[in-house]
Amino acid sequence: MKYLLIFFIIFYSFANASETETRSISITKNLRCLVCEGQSVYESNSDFANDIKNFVKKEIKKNKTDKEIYQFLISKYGESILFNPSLSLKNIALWLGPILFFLVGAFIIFRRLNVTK
Amino acid sequence: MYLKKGFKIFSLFIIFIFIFIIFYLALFQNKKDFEPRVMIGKKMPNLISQSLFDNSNKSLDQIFLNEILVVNIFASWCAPCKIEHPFLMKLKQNNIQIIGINYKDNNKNAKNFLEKYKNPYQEVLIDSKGELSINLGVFGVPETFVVDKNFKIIDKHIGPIDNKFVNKILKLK
Amino acid sequence: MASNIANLILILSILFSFLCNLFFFKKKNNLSIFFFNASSYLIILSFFLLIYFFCSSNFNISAVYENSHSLKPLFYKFAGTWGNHEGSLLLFIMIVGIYGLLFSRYYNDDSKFKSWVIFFQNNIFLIFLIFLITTSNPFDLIVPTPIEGLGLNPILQDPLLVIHPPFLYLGYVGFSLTLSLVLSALINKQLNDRWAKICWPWVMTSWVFLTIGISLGSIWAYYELGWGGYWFWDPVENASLMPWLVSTALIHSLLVLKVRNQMKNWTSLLAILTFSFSLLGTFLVRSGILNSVHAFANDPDRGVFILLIIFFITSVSLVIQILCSSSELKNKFLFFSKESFVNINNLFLLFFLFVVLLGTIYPIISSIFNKTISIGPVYYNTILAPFVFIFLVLMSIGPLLKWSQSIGIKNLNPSLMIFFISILLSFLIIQVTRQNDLILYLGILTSLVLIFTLFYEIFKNIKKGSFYYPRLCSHLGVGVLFLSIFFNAYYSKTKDFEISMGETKVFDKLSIKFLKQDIYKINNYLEMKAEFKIFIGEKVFNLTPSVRRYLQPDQITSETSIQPTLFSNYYLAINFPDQNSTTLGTRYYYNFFIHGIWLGLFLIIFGGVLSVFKKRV
Repeated sequence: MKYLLIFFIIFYSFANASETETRSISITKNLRCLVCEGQSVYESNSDFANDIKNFVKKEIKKNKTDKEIYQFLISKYGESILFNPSLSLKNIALWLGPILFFLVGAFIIFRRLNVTK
Repeated sequence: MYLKKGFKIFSLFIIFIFIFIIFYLALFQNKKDFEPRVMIGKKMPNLISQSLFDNSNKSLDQIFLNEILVVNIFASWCAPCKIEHPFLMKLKQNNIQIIGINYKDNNKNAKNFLEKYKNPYQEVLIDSKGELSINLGVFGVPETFVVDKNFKIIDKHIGPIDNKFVNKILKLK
Repeated sequence: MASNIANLILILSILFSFLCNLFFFKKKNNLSIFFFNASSYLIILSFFLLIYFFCSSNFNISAVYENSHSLKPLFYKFAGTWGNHEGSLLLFIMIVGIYGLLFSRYYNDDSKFKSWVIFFQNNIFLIFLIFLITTSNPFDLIVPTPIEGLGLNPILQDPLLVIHPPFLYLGYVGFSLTLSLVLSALINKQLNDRWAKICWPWVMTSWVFLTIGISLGSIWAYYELGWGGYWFWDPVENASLMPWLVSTALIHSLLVLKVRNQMKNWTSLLAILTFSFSLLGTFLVRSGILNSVHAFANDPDRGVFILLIIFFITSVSLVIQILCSSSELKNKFLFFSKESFVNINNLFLLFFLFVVLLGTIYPIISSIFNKTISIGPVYYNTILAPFVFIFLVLMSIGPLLKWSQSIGIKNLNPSLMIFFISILLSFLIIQVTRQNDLILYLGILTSLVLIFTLFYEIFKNIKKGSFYYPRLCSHLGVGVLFLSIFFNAYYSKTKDFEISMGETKVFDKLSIKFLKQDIYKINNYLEMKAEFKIFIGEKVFNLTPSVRRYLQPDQITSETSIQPTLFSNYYLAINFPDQNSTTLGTRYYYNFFIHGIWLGLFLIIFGGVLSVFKKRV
């Protein structure tokens, strides 16, 4: 019975660990390492990156949501720490621009096509 | 037909000049603007940790004396910290309160460092895992924060401080 | 003394280049070509001289002093020649010269056309040579002679990284000849199907080299950087991807020009844009405008100079294109015809280009407004994915269509069949592996549609023996590549953990034991190697990842240890040990189907190589 309990504790901690880890990896991949040349926190071995990685793991264990963790880091480091441009009005060009480009291009081609079967 | 071609060439040049200006400006952008300065204007986070000197738990708002405070992140293994040290001593000599945050350091090495170079700090808090520094939005050593008497961050300096920064602080007193 | 000889060669080269122009204006074509050739040979000579200086550690020469060290192994001294701004710029110029030399040697039909091509090639050569001599001369003299050099970035001391730049350059610098060809054709009113046939092998050769160069970079990132990834949408990676996308569009457009003598203006525009994007890439990497692990010389003044060069070359080319563009009949294409689908192909490729360009440039633009923003993989993957799916399907249909005829809808019945089979198979795969993700499903589905359609084509035509296997090979490569990308993205596993010596960690049906660690001193670095034993079911194998501390300059790198299987890799990397810690930070990756990615890239490249040599439309 004792061994079963130990087994479940170990198993649970690994199961939990993998969930923490998946989240930790996905969050840190989305954070920019501010002392590196364009790498993510996940992909860096610098002191800063390691600090942030430990911090993220701790916050996940405290049951903070992804959004809360991002918000905290943004409040300390600014929006530039995030890799994923947020869907704000300023970034609308980034998402709408390509769509517009495609539509204009498609229209130009369409004019050149003789759509008769 | 020539009008159409002329128009094309004209608009080409307009676009090119526009693009050129953008890239030109970007090239000479002062990289200093990439430093996170979001903490300036915000209330100083209350940092709580062990003191380097007597191992007791101290919190920043306990140490705070309602006057200008300088918070300096340093480490014994950090070369630029040695360079800025004389300027910290100058601040101390002018009775500016300085709190040190010892970043990811070995306690013995840190104490030796202060003994060798002299101690400019009223108090030093240990930050062995870099957690306090994240609270301040720090990403390297050394960094220095200036806190006013209302416990608000009013300035920060990334990298070793210089005479200019010291004078700025002295003027505030 | 050595420096003086080298500088003399450079000056002589510039002089000959000017003479080439002089004789061209005097309509003495043979002399003009002669002096261009001579000039190019001189630059080749100077490059070999630079190699010699590097290998013999001649620290009188500025490039050698700044980038080499006597302790470096000979092979990396040799490679150090182009591992720096000045040396790589000399390589750049040399390749412009080499492409010109090769064209001069192998093309002898129309001497007027030839002289124009050499003229343009010569001026591209000359502009960059002047830039080199005035701002980035590798042969500057250092007096007094330093005892030792400043060393080379240890990350660059890797065989893959050594050959990566030369291949990239043979690729995108090769498009200089494409530019010269198109400008000559425009001015001489010879932009037609014959020109497209002449152009074809030169464009394909550059395209092949560029693809190889990009692939090598990807392979290097995977094996060396230690994070299990092969593409990071890093701005410098993007800088090489952009000319690749334009040149791929150009190749398809050239096809229409070759076969139907149509799409002249569009093809000429693409040809000009290809080299412009090559130049843009050069600018982005060298000017310090970007933040990246790759970025070379951070020198804004050089950046302005390069910017001016790009604008000059591009604007002159576009003005020529506008003035000389033919007023061709804008005949309409039928929708279900090959020409129409090439147009659609171009639309998609240029859309991809626009996305990559926007993502790369946007941080630069927002930096002017004091706003820092970073664009990571999530942006690119999100916006590209839906279009990639549609593109793969269209790519399977396009080659089935005919030229200037509309194919009847019922001729596409096989496609419909293949579509249904793929839907079922993809669904099966998703269910069996229990990964209910729509993106994965669509990715597998569309890749399979492409792959199966190609198999169908091969099967249908194998009796006739009349299929065009270069295209089949490359398109198959694309299908395999995307299938592998999706498999790799969704079925790989990763785990980060701390482990102490003698400890065993168990997860994912395997166990890892940290056996021992050793410290070695080799050449110019200190290495800590950790040995792990891995047990998976019946299989047992050892992996030995390590970290290195280089002496000159002081830098730490991580070396991965990989156990390959048929399709995948078991991959281990360690972190630099913390001073106060008794445990070792370790990263384990199971990279599923990574070999499929390399196979896909290989097929794309091989198809291109076949295309250069195969004499057929």
